[in-house]
Amino acid sequence: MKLLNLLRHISLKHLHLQKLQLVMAVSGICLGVAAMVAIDLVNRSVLKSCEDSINHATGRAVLQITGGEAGFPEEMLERVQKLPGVEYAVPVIEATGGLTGDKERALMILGIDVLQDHHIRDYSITDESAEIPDPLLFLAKRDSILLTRTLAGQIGIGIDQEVNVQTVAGLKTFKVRGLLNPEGPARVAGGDIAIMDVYAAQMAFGKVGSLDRIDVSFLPGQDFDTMKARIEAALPPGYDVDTPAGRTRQVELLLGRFRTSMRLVGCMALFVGMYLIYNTVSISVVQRRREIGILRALGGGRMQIAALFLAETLAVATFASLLGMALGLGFAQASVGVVAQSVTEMYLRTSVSELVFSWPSLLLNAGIGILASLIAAVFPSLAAARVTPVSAIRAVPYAADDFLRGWRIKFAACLCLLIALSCLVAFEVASPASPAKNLGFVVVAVILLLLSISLITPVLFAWTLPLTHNLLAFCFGAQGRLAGLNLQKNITRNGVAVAAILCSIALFVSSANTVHSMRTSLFEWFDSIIRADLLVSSGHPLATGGAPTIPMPAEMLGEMEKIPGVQSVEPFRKGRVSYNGRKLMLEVFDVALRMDYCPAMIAVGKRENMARLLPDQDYVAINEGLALKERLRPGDSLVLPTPQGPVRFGVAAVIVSFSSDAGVVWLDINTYRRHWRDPLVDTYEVLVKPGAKIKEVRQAILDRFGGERRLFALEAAEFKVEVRKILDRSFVMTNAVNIITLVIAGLGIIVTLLASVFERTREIGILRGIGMTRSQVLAMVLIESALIGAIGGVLGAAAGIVIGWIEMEGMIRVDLGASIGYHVHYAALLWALLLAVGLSALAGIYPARRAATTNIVEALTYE
Amino acid sequence: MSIKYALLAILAERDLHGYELKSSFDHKVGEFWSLNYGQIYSTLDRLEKEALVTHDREMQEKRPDRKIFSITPQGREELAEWLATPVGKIRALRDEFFIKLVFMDKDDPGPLLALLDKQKALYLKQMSKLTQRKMALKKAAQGPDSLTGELLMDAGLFHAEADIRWLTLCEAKLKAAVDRKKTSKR
Amino acid sequence: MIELNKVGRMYRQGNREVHALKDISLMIGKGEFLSIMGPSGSGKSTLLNLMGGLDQATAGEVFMDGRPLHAISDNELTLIRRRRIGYIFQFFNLLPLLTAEENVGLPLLLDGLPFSEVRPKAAALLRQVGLHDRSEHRPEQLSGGEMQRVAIARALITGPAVILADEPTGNLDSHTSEEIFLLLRSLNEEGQTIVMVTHDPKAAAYGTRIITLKDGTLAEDMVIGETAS
Repeated sequence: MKLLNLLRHISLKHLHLQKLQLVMAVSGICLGVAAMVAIDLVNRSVLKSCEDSINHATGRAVLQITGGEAGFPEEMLERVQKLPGVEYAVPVIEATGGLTGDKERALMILGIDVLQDHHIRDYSITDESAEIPDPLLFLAKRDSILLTRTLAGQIGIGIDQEVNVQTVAGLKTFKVRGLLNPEGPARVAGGDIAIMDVYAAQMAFGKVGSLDRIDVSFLPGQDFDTMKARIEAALPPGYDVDTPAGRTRQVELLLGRFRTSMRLVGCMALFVGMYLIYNTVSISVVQRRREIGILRALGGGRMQIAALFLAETLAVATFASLLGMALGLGFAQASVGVVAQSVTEMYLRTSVSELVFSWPSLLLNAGIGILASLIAAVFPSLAAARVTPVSAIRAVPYAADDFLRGWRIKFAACLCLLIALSCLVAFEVASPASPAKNLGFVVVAVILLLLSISLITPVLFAWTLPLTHNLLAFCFGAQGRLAGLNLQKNITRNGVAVAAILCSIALFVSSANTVHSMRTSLFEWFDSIIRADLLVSSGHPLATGGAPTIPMPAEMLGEMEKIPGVQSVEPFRKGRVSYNGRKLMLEVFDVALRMDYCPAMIAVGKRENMARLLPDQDYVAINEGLALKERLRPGDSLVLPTPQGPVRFGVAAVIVSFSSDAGVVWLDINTYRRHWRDPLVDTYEVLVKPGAKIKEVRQAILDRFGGERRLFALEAAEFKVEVRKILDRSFVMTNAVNIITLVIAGLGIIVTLLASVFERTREIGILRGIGMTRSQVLAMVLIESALIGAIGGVLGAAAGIVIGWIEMEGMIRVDLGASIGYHVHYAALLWALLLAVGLSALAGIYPARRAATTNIVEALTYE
Repeated sequence: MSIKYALLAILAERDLHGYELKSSFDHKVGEFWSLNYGQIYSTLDRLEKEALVTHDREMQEKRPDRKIFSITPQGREELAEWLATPVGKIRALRDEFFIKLVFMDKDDPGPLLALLDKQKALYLKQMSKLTQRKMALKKAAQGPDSLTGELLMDAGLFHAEADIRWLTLCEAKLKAAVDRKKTSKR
Repeated sequence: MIELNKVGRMYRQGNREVHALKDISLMIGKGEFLSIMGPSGSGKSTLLNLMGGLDQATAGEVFMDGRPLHAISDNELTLIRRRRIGYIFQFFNLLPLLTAEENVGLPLLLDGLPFSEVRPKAAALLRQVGLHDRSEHRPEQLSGGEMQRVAIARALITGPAVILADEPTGNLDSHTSEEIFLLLRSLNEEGQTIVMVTHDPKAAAYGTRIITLKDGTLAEDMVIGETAS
């Protein structure tokens, strides 16, 4: 009650008086919370959308059986159906088609057993959820296809109209025999889905006699593990029996990395916000020193004073956090589309229709915001409690709160550093299987490292500042000298502003460096594998969201080679293969040909071995990630499942590849065809003869095959540009939060400088009195702010380089399983410094103007 | 009263005859305090009676003998005691100005206020002179005597300042009284 | 040197107009040591601020060396303050972060002179005010009288046309005050024009001319000493 009284009588008046500071503090907390909320919401929404996509497509299926890219014999279906305990087992053909029209549009085509499938999935072609005028006709005709209403509406096609779909056998024309409501599976892939009868699909996609997947449900009361084992036993080796959730898990893993890095960024935003709160509250304590003294003299207890300040913080933080929740929703709404697109392009086709709300998590984020504010306010509040009653009577000279430069802080900084280092060491020496090999360790280490650096920033700042004095005086004369000295005066408080800038710049630089390193390495790799001039495929290689393009028959190779100007044509086939529970990426090409013109990046092993062992032999090359995780070296061997049964392959070399983080296996096309019996090709990589014009050859290829099928002949250079764009888009969210962090740090500078300008009102009055012009005052304060920015920027850039390296080595490298060299992005470094100085100077403008327009006469009578 | 001690103090430095005694007195405290020979000689007589001072005769050609005065040990004792005793009585206010103040018409403060201003101006001018003398003294000589002179002039300045302050207060109170009267009449 | 012609200064307090100064006309010649006296709130400091270009008149004209202070830009006014006027304030108003030498040299530093050039001048002035052994001290290491002497040195460094002092000894004891006044007086005797606001008649007595303000108007103007030529 007492506290409430104090709040009402004292705090409210101050909140009113210090409007500006209040606005800054509220904005700071608000932005921090908003960043966290937005990150959380976007993650949830994207993940949910991915899960939905998969769940709708799998329905009630408990287990899914898959086996190899080319499918598996349909006899397996019968085998599974006969197993005891199996309720239903339905066949699925899963194909990707390209809807031709004005715009290239990927289409997911499911071939299902129309009569059986409703046992598994929530729809039926016979009830009201679908509009199928003549179900019998649909079954009888091979060109029958069902579209979702959404898609049909978008492309303007109705029942009984024809659609052209790009398939493995070239362009096919289908007739729309019905429309599905956007429910259940029709929601998959945002509605870009078509359903066919399984037999028609087998014909259309060249999969006669084979299936892509069997979805299985159990009779009630069956034990999951028993059933799984039973099914696995009934099938030849090499088949993958997994829950549908297993597939979600993969997406989750992919998003997990995204989430971890975003969380780190969000944490930092809040961390920088805490600095802002710390400064705001300490400034408020200094400004209200006399008032606190009076309260103490009148009998206010120490704890009452501390509680007063904490209560004020609580009130402000609660308000700001609620505001932050709302703002976060806005941010999420604005950014979810970009993130979803990025996920689509990189991992899995998805489109987010709505944000997934979760009140507990919203409130949790707001709570974190409030708690962080309170923690930041504890130290200045305790400082307030230490104000002596004498302060009420006597103007006690400004005693800087030296807490942040005391031995406790130095000790804490060392402790943080020590823990951070031990986390890193633990992570580094831990074996891949050990629980210590957890990215969490690296995240904790990075946060602690930043904490440690920012804790000693005031100390560092105190060391660095004197070094700049002479330079400043030399460059800017009296204003420069005064600016340096002014910063010196409140070194702790200014140090905190520096720490805030340091954190945000460190974050900016580290993410710029990791992104740059990834880009550099990816493009080096890209350049090493894409040496052809033209990439010929049946769909835009980047339009289908990572789904395989519609394969082309092998016979095209010979014909393509005959086109004038073509030097060589190399087939490329992409597939998946299970190995120790991992879905490895199978990359198949003509190794003998490739070794001629591609400087493949080999990590371990000899190039000659690859050229000698791979072609048409049971040898593979594997990527570093796989080698590391499975402890494989050249000379070892691994057993891969093939449709013909398991085959032992020797490891010829370890190569650098970023194709998949699960693991990559390179295989010669002849070996592949021998074991997998799959004659299809995803991409033909065409090398143009020297002297021949790429554009002409490209046109010739399109002319030759364009009639039979839709074909894309993309120039490699163009392709690389596209990839670069996609990669950059995937960092949009990171950049957005980085900018928020910088803005919060900027607010911190405004608060610090404003307080400093208010405190120096009299001094500024003197300076104006003895002949300092307005522009000189303006310059002085701007130099101060720019100097805070510059020192914060330089220290932050240095910290950012180190942190970026840790993230690179610790998280991304281990995660991607590929050696990515750490490249410092010098341009970004320069940008970061410019940004730090520029933004700080910008933040200094308002305080500087306040200072410049100081009324001299009033200032001279100011106490 | 303190002429007695002033003379004793001068004699404590060295023996002097009457004329020298007067000029020494004038030199030291003449600024504030003027004495005639009669006062000096009557005081010396009294001092001799109290056995604090004695005199010798000095023979002169063509002139009557001069008395050379000197301080007795008893006199020195008395002087030391006096120097060590603080002054018990505060300055009496028997200024001419006070008498004027008493008889001025309080109902028509105009002339009184004018007088106050004139009086203040007078004090200020006097202070200016004192200040100039003090500065001249500071420049001219360095020694215990000049310090004493300076201190005495300071005393004069402080007294004048006090008077000016008092006059200012009189002015303020008179004005306030007039204002009160005006408002109560209304 | 300084000429005031029917000068007025009006403030607004809410809807009320407060006339701090009304219709003041005054000429201050070279070499004068003018003391401005008057009760609190009589407009002494306001008048000084107008003369010094810290504040601008709302009526009338203020000329300094023939320049109209009432009608020039803030920048021009600032340059006049910097180069033509030396200020001495009641609270010394030294910059706590600068050394005595830097404080003294500040007006020249603000004028863009390098410290190497300013330094000997500042040192010479500190010697003149008797503080040559304090040049590296910061204000907090100096006594009140020493601080004010540094302030006087600062006021002198540009060789100003006039020194304006606002209760220069308001915070000092009598003995220290006297030293300050003697210093000012000796400057005046060398020809320095000085205008000083004071409520202390002892201080005013050092001047050559005293004006008294009452309720924002000029009540009295008297010459009490000889003006140095």
